[in-house]
Amino acid sequence: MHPVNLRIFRLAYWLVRLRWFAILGIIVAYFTAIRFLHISIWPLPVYIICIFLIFLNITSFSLLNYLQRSNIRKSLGIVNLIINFQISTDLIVLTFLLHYSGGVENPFIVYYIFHMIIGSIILSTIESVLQTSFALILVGAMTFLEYTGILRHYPLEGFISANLFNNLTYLVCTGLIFITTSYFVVYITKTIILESRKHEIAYLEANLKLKQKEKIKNEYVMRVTHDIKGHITAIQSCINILYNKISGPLNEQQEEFVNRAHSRIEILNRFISDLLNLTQRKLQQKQDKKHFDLKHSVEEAIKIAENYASDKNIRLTKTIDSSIADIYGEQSSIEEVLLNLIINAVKYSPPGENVTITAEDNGDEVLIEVIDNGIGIPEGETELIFNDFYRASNARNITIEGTGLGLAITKHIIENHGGKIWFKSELDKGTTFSLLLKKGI
Amino acid sequence: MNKSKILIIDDDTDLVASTSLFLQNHNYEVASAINTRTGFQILKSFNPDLVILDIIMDSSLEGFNFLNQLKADDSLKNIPVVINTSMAKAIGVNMRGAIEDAENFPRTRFVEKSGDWDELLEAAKELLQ
Repeated sequence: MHPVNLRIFRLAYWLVRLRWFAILGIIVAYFTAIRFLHISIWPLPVYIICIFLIFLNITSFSLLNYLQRSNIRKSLGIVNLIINFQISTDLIVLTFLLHYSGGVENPFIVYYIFHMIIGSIILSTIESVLQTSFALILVGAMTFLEYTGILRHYPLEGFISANLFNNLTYLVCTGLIFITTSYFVVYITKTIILESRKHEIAYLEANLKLKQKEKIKNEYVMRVTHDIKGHITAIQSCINILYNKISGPLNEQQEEFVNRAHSRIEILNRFISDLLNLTQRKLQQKQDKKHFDLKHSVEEAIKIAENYASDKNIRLTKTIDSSIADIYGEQSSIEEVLLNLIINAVKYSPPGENVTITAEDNGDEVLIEVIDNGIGIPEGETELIFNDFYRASNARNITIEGTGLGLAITKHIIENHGGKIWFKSELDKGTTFSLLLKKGI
Repeated sequence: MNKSKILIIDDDTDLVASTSLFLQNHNYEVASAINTRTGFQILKSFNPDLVILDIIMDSSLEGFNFLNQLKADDSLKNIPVVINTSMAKAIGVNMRGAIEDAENFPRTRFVEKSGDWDELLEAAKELLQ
């Protein structure tokens, strides 16, 4: 759904929330008036109205939920109708409440203004003027009917001693002030809202354009990278003929240069693969998610990393909660993340050190930590470490290998799974990367 | 024992040159074609025991069309095929699964193009057994 259209849903839900507060407010106000201020009010209509409001609010809420899920084109019009209906009913309810508790003499009469402000925020100009006029007609009708005696007047005994409901001068003056205030409030609110809406729409549209541009850029990067990868593969295969001495033996100097070319093309190949991987992930809209055994994935990643670790004489130790089993997500991506973090820990640890992998069952979530005693991440660079192409300065000094894309890919995957990734690090002491993954959908 | 015969159909002549040499070094007899049209002609005369097939050549699905043709022909469908392509991830679908699980593509393996031949050789050995 377009973000501009989402606004009306957001406001409709806001109105529903406001109404819960209103219901609570009514109960508290009447309870205080009757119990503590000893004002005589007939409580039955208040109870009936509150029950009616609760019922109405639950209905609106369920209807909104249904409409948001159904995603039909007409739903926006229906939401608008619900909002209008809700404001009109609220105005009628307020009039009833006032009628049974002093009518025009009840100071809560100013609460009509709230509805006018809310209406002006959510509805179109015409609709808010109509709602305001409807409110004024309701107040006018109630006052008139009580004044003429057609409707009974319920005085607020113990609160206001003077009878204002039949004082014509008071009614006319208050009426005029009330009418002008109401329309003025609508005018002011509407002006402010329209101004800020203009900015909001411009902002949303700019944001949308930016996302489209980002997509075009990513598609471009992917096409270029893909083409480059084809050439690199061919070059790498030709060098491999020499490197593996398939075409015959090389002299010492030839071998040295072939080795140099071989190792550089490996680095370039990894870089291109990582760049393709990240760009594809950014462009990918659908994920291949299913239930899979996370415990098995952690163990599998450790097994794969063990070869690499043993070359550096690094021991991998693991503590995995036995209760961890099924998790919902993209298995290959999560395994890529785990392997990436473990390999990183090994890569940036001095030989002979330990790398610890823990997986803890936290009920709905699983916390996975990869703990090393390696070179750590310099303090000033902690904000940058997940950025595309960023490599920590001390990591760059250790090895030219590393594309600076591994953690960017990792973060992208984790965030796509609704999870969190963070780290604690101390320079030359070690780093702990923590992953929080949701088990369910 | 006779050498096993492998036909490579791929338009990347540099990759074909190195792969051919590598396979010859592993005691295979190798022929190659830069498109599926010549590939079909060579197929008849050379009688390969295995075909290594690229997907994107003159057209983006040329290799697939060839594979369909091959597997629909009763006299040829038993020739095993290794799909060797770089488009594995580029189109965002699981090509490996799609090809290896397809019922109309028996004895077909998927190997992503790479600068070394470890996976390719393994697949070829397995299919030639």
